[in-house]
Amino acid sequence: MSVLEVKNLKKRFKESLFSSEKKVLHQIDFSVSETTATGFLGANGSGKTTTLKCVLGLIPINSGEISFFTGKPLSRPVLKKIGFLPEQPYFYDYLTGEELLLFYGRLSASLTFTDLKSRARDLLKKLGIYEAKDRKIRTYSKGMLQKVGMAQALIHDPELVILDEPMAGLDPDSRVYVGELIQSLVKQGKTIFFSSHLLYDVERLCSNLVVLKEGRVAYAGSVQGLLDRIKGRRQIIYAEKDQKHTVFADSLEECQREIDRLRKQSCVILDVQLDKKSLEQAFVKITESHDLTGKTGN
Amino acid sequence: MKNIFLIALNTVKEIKRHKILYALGAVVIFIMLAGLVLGPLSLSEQTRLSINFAFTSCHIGLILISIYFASTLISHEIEKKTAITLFVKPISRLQFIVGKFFGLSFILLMALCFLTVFVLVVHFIYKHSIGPILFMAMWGIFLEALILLTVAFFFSSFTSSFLVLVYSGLIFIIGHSASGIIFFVNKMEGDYFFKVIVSIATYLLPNFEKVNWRAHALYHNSLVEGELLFSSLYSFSWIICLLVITSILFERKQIA
Repeated sequence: MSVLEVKNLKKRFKESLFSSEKKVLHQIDFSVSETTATGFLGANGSGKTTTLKCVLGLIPINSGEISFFTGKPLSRPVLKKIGFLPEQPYFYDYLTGEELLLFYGRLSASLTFTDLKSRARDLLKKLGIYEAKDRKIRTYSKGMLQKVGMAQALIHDPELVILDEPMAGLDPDSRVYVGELIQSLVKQGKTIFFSSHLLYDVERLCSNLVVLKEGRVAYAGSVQGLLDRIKGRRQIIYAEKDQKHTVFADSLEECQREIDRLRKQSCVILDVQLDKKSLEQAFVKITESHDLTGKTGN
Repeated sequence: MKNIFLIALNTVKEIKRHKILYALGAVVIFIMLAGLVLGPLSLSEQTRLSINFAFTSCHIGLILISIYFASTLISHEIEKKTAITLFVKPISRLQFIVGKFFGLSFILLMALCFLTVFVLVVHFIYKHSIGPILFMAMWGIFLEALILLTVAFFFSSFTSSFLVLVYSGLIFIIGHSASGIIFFVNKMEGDYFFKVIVSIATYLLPNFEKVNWRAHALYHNSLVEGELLFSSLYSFSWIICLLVITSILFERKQIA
């Protein structure tokens, strides 16, 4: 089932009243499948945040179609099922962390006040900012703001969670935790769609990818599919006569052949790793390419 | 209704925690006290001067609270980008505007009640009789503050908070000068076209003198029959019209 489907989305902006319109999104087509984590990649200014704002109805679109949960247009019942963390989380800084969650929760969730309060506290504990629940938001650090932003996106237990740069501003521990949180949400049956500049996080957490380049979709499909397209290297670590060795394979097929060969030679396969630079290489290759027609389906 | 209530409640919290509210309150009380201190200097006019100071300080205080907070409440949501997180929740922009209006109106009502107590104290000190006209004068101040609130909301839907402050201030000045302008223009000879243009312009803007009953309260003049009802209806017509126009404009606004 498609949780989010964007078809032929186009968006133009006027910089000033008398200037001509500038095309920001040329033609965006992609879909996000249920119970997956889909990464949304693109260089600065490629149109990621504009696409997200169009998807969420914050800015009107010029043409195209955006539907949620198999064909439903954006409406208030649909918004109840969506959680969103903006790129730079600005919140009401006169509220405390707990008050903020209760405010957003009461707007979106159908829970009783007591249940909502316990869910808010639970989320604050999980994100490690429970001790700061009674502190005003204006006293929070950037990382704490990101965490409280994450909590407000999840307070109403949404089915689709859209995160714009969720790892930005987080320390390494928090990044690991947010990554685990995204994985656990997918396991719970939620759908995650998140934009990021951190390719390592996307590779680690996502099964699917949408790559934007200059307002066009340069790639939409599985992470593996993209890696296969650039024939990413795989590192096979094996043991032979108590000695550790490494061999590289340029494609998945070659990797299989190598493993078969090594096993026939009674070698023990210790690990098979994707070359860490491979998604980065793939991303660079895709975004440097002038041919943007090589899309694949999910 | 729940969403309007939540926005209103949040607005009350926001204003309540703002130091400027208390600073404005302190300025108003200072002006009232100044009236009490300066009163004896005016010899026979002591009572009139002090009561006039009390009414004027209430008027200025309520108008400043109204314009300052109305000009920042909506503009800051856009400028500080808090609107992005809010409008991805199941809430309409009309509910947002109406919620903000009720929140600030509640603060104005509380401020009015608080300041009325001070005005009554000044009346007691000078043994000036207290009649219904005093409360009508305070009601007039409240209506004026509500109109200015919606005027500031209207400007907030398309310009920055600083310009909202400037434009609302201008509307306040013109709104108090409208009656005078019409009076002098009618006294002018010739140039019929100019007279019509000025008259139309003054009718297109709120006339705050229609709710100014402070002089009546000072001199114990009663209002013309039906004036209270007519002026209240006049004020609420302005408030509703401006809220509707603001909502329509805000609906089209790009939250970026």
